[in-house]
Amino acid sequence: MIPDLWREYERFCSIRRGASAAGVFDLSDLDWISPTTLLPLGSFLLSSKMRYVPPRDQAVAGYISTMFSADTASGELLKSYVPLVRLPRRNGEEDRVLGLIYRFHDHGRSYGGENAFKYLIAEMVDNIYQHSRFSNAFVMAQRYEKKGFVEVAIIDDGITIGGSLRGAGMRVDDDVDAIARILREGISAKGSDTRGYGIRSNARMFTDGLKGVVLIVSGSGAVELAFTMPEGVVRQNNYHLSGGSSSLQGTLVSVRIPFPSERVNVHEYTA
Amino acid sequence: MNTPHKTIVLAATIYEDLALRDSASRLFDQIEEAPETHFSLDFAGVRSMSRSFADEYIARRAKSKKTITECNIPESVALMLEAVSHRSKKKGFKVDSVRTTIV
Repeated sequence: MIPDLWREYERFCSIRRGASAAGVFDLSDLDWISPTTLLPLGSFLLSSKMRYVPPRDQAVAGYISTMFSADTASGELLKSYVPLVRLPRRNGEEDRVLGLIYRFHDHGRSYGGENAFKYLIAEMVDNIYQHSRFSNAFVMAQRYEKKGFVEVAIIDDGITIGGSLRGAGMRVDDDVDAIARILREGISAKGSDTRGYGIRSNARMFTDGLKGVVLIVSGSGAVELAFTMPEGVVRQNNYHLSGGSSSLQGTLVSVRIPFPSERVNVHEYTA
Repeated sequence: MNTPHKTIVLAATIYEDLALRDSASRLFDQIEEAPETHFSLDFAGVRSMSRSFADEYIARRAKSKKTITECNIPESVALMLEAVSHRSKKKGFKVDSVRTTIV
């Protein structure tokens, strides 16, 4: 069973709480970190210009430094990770950043097949461009050979899912309701009946199809959908993030996909 | 009289993976602004097409007054275009349990 993602986001919240008191991000006690913690941390560090105290564990310190500074401009395939990569504004270069993610993951061959993997990643990224009105957006990924899963995280500092739906005049109870309804009902701020298929089919494919986990944190809400074993069922965990210490100005989408995954027929999920 | 005609190789113009709605939109902006009236869209080298790209592609193609033909469409792309063209009503995604926590 794939470990849940919520605890990784909570780790970021804990570090951020400490930073607001101390004025510095103290990472000295960290002995492990994954993109769901590191990506919001990197995004926050860039926007706040605050500094961080590196972990005492030299391996973790080196890893963080690499993830924040590795050069992807050469387009060369990196071994087990995609470092902090900025999603370009709408300039036609977006597809090539997606290409970097695809190449790193060997075009998704181990993650349910090329069609399924690309469908999932493309819809995740496209939703940011279509709905979030971001100023900054980043992606990061890490493949864990021994743990048997890959983690991909995407963050933006945009108007949040609830903000997008409310801005389109749609009624949602709160940010948890907004996230849950786009995931399960496929509602869309664009209103058109042709919109909203992507994220809903993504949620089904990540859980039912690939037996993975998806976490969305947006504004003051978070929803995690997870395929759990041995029951073989999909569980939804809702988190109402009261106060500022756990909420997020923007949206984080994070997924864990086990590998090798059986080939998924994308067309079973696109109808 | 020759019909003004232009071929666009999508893998070269956009990318081998046709992923984003905006990319489809830019493609048709380019087509609409061009002086040619006939376009051949060549899918040679294309590896995948997302649902969002397919949705925008179909919508913009239907609205366009230009004559557009396609060639070398890979099977996976044809299936995606077919799925989006004949979409069914959205089905709700049922989960087996819901737990709510206030943090």
